[in-house]
Amino acid sequence: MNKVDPLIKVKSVTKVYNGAQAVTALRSISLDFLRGEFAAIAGPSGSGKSTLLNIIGTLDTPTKGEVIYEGRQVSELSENQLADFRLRALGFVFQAFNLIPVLTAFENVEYVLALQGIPVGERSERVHEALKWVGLEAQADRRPDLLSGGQQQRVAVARAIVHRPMVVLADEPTANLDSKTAESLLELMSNLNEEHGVTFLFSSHDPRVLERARRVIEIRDGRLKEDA
Amino acid sequence: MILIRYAWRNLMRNGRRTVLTVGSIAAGLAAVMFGQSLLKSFQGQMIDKSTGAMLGHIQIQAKGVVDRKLPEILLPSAEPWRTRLINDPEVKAVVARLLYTGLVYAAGGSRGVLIVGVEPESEKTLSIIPEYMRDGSYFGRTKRDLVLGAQLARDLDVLVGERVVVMAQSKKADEGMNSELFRVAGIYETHSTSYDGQIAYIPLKAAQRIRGREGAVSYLAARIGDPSRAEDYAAERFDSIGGSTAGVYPYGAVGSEIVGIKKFQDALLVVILVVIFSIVGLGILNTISMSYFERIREFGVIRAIGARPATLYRLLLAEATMLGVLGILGGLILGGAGIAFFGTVGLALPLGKAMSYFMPFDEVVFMRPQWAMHAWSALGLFGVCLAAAVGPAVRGARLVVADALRHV
Repeated sequence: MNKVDPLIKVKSVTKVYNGAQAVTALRSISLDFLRGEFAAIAGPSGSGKSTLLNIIGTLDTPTKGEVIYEGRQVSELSENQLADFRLRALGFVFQAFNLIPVLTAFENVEYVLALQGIPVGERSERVHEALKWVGLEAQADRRPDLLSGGQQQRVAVARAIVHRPMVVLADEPTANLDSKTAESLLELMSNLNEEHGVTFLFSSHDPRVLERARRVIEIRDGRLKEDA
Repeated sequence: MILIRYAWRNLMRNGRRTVLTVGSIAAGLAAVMFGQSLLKSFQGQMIDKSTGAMLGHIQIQAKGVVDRKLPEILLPSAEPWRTRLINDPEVKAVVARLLYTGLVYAAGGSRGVLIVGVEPESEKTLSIIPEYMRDGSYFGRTKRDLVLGAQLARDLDVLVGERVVVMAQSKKADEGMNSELFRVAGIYETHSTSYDGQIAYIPLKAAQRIRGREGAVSYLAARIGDPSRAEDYAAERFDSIGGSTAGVYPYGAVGSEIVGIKKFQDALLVVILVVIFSIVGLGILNTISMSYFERIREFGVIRAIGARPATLYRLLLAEATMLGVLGILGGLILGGAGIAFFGTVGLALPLGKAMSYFMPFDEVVFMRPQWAMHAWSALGLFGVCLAAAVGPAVRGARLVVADALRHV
């Protein structure tokens, strides 16, 4: 594959939610993302940015169009193949942290590696390394309810990067954080991008995120408004 | 390993609910075990007493008999069946009896009774009546001894050593009435209305004389080593021991009411089992479903980070397995302790009193564990636990990830 070939190709993606009244969330969106990007999909609430991120993250399926990862069309994958693809290629950071409350910070991060079947010794090493990157080694044995919001989101970042995915998808990662914590988290993700080459793709309308993003894609009413 | 840890901690999220569910499984299994032990111990006593008092485990009777309790066709002699039975290694004791209805006269009055002609020494190897002697002995040294129940003795107003006359219709050509004088050698008291008030035992030869059928017997009864083989034994030896004129019949074919009671109780047990299993199953279904609905978003996260649908399936089944194993262990301990307690002190049942009308029956039943049955019940209950988790597990495996992540 050529160096400039896109890591992710979003091709004419349309998403319609069929309910009592059909709602078109995305209208023929086409985008390319390169390896190592630190990009944000911006737009007001209801603009379709989270839907687009979900479709890129294979958590949802487009009504029309396709998403291609390194030349591979994800719509052709079975449910198990999709799960395996997410497990190895993608990392997720959610707005509400979404850690498993009964597992410690260490175990939350470890769970991804356990699903991959990585041996315990290697798992432990990599989890410690990931927690070190996010500055939470000391809190490894704490459960989420004993961590602050910022710390929980850092654990979520560690969980998203521990298996060295090709891209981390972060849906409104700073929405539930105070200003200082949000800055610190963005600093962390920016460093991971610059120092470790982790590709980040955000959906957010937080100006702090948009300021740090090196590419901002604006969506309004399901349409691509701007890509800068 | 992380799956087990995760499943266990999920159960501990709502400790009270888990304890209640485990408790309900344990209580359900304990109740089933208790019911099984009680009914099987009750049935065991019923079979022991009825076979010990009269039926034996198997009987040799003439073919063509209509009333197997009181055969109207007699065997001309106890031989050769006695020899065949004695030579069979499975047979532990053999008796020959002649039964017919007659009258017993005494100074205090007369009563219609069932006359049972017995061989006293053989009877002691099979019959439990000698164990119930209240006064005197189970036959003495004379050939004119008679043993009767306490109620009959009261009705006739006789004591040990006093004389009575036994009268019955002769089956000889003249069809006349025969009577003989006997001395009361012993009075037994089983607390069974039928046995204490309606039966008189006399020596077999005397019974044959009165009936005018020297050498004839109504049947031969035998005790075998393994009573549970009675039916198979009778089927296997029907011709080889029965020969052309007689057959081998298990106690169930002679005392059909025992089989009826046993079948009724077994059916009742099945109903109880189904009810308890259903209640426990619904309880587990409720627990797993509640736990599932509370965690839909979390399941969405797990699926999002790369878990296959089968991972959720395994997680919910692991939780159900833990609930089941804990509940079953609790049930085995609880049920085992209850059975052990009532196996020591006994359990007085009004039903025992009712049964004693028909046969000598102890009011107190000493419960014995029925481990094979308990094990099947535990296994069945474990199956119910797993089955109850299948629905939520399948729903979990079919979750649409994006929808689950939006779930509040």
